Amino acid sequence: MEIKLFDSELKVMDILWKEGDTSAKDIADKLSKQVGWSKTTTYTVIKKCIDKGAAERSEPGFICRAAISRKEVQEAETNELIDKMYDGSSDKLIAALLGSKRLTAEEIQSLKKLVEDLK
Amino acid sequence: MNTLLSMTISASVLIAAIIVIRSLFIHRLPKRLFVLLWAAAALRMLIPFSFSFDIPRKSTRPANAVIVDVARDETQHSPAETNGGADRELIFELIWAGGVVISAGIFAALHLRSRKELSTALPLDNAAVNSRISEEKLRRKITVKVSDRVTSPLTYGIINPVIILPKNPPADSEEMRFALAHELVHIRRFDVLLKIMLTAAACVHWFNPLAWAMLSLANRDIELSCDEAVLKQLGCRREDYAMALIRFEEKRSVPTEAAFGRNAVRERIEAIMKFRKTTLAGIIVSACLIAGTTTAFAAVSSDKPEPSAADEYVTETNETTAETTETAPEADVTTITEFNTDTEMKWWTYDEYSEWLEQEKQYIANLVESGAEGWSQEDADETIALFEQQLEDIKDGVPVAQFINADDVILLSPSDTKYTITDETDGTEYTIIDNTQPGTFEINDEEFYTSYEEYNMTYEDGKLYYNGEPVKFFDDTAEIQDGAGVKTDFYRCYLDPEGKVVVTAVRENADENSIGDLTGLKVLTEEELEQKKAELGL
Repeated sequence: MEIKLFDSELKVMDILWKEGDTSAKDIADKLSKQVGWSKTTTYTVIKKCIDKGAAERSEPGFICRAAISRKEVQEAETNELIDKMYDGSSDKLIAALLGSKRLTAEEIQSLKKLVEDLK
Repeated sequence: MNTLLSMTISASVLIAAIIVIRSLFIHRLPKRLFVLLWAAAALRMLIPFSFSFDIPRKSTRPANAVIVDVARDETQHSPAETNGGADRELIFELIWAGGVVISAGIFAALHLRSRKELSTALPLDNAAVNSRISEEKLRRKITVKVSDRVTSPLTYGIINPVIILPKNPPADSEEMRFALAHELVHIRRFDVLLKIMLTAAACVHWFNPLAWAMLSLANRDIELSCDEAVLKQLGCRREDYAMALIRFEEKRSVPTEAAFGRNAVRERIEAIMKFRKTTLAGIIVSACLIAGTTTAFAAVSSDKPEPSAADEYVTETNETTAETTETAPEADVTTITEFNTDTEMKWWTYDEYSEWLEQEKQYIANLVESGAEGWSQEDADETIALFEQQLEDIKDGVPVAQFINADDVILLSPSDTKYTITDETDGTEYTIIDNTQPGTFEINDEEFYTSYEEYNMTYEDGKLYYNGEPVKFFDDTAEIQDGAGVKTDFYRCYLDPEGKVVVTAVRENADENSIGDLTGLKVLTEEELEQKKAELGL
């Protein structure tokens, strides 16, 4: 399933991933505090998430739950990134990450350990 | 109905005039001028004036006359027919009202739709942006947000303006800096309100194609004058700003407004590249055009002018003219000097300017070749001729600024840094080259000062040094003795208040015809300096 979520939708999904099932009303409250959205705006975004299949709605009470996991979205986004920007080769992405010094020493250590474990 | 027609006709005349002027002068006059003219046209379209305008009257009178005759002849006709004229007018009014509602409705719908899209924008907390916003010091609160749904920045809201920035480029990049400055100018000038007024005017006059032409061109001119203000304010290189603009346009994946939009963008880029300091001549021409256009059309449109209405209108535009001319400083060299010590000016040297001119010639040749709007071979030749003239000015020692960094867009190049003084006793005139600004460009400087090198005075980067120390005051004058008394021929002086050493040139063998040969340099004491300054009249 090709899911392309906008930033606004990710914001809603964030809440669902962090807090589990939440009522639409609660989501609206939280987001109004976090990013200043009006209730209508939040409800519109929730509807978009549902339409895209990222979230599900259950009654009574307009309870929302995530229909897709954060991991799935991450994977999809990463694959898209690799395909678009790194010629479909994940090696190149890793090389870029290592080369650009975006990883801390600990992160590198854990990566190395991961490689070891995979061997 | 009558007022509407008269408004539309008089506005059409004004709009047509503006269009003609614009096509001739768009790149040579301050864009703000056109924005003012458009605003005047829009006002004319929205505010009915009560001056008599004969044409509508003439058309209704005969109709009524006919109906009266008919009624007299055939009394059996139903009342409906006798009211035929009035009905017809009612129908027109209804059609008109319908048109207004529909056009206004379309705009409202479009606006609401984009507002909905933008409502999902996320708050932006970026140090560079925040500091820039707090610099603005406006009464109104400005909010900046970011959205992944827009490709170029935009602003909405009048009382609480909101700027929406796209995700790329990043908020602290140079392009964003330009974009932010651009939006802030819009906010400061209440452009959103102006655009609403223009749109309203077009809706009210929806049946008049010139009204839509006005709307389209006015929007373009608002953008152009905004670009102008940003260039003036930031003092950046025009090419950088133009490139940033192009990059924003490139990212637009869906071409909006198709050809319409493309022309507008091209026009903007050309306007930016053609941007140069407004001259006093430009302001005068602008003022004349505003006054001329509005008075001319005021005369045309009213047979029996109601003095109050027409005059009020003309005075209003004169006030606006006054606003634009207020900023022009006195045209004299002293003002320019004061100016210079405040702002950090970087002056063109002859070589730098020639180099730049070579590149510019290439660029302009490309524009002409690619058939860019507003760049015919004639335009190109004219522009290049202007630049060559400026090169000549630089050669003659006129200071020309590299960047547009002054608060005032209007910089007058002093016509001459030479002036003459007359000796009262016998009317002889002496020409003085005023070199009292440190680093004033004069192409002969370097050459000239080489003659002092053997006496340990060197000229570097526009400053004089004696034995390595910066020179505070230097002069090379000769007293030419003439039978009738002592006259002084000023040859060269230099003054740098921040320097240390005071030096004067020593010459020998001066006579009537020459200032003599240089034999050395002498350091002066404070006393001697004061005396010398008095002698020179400084």
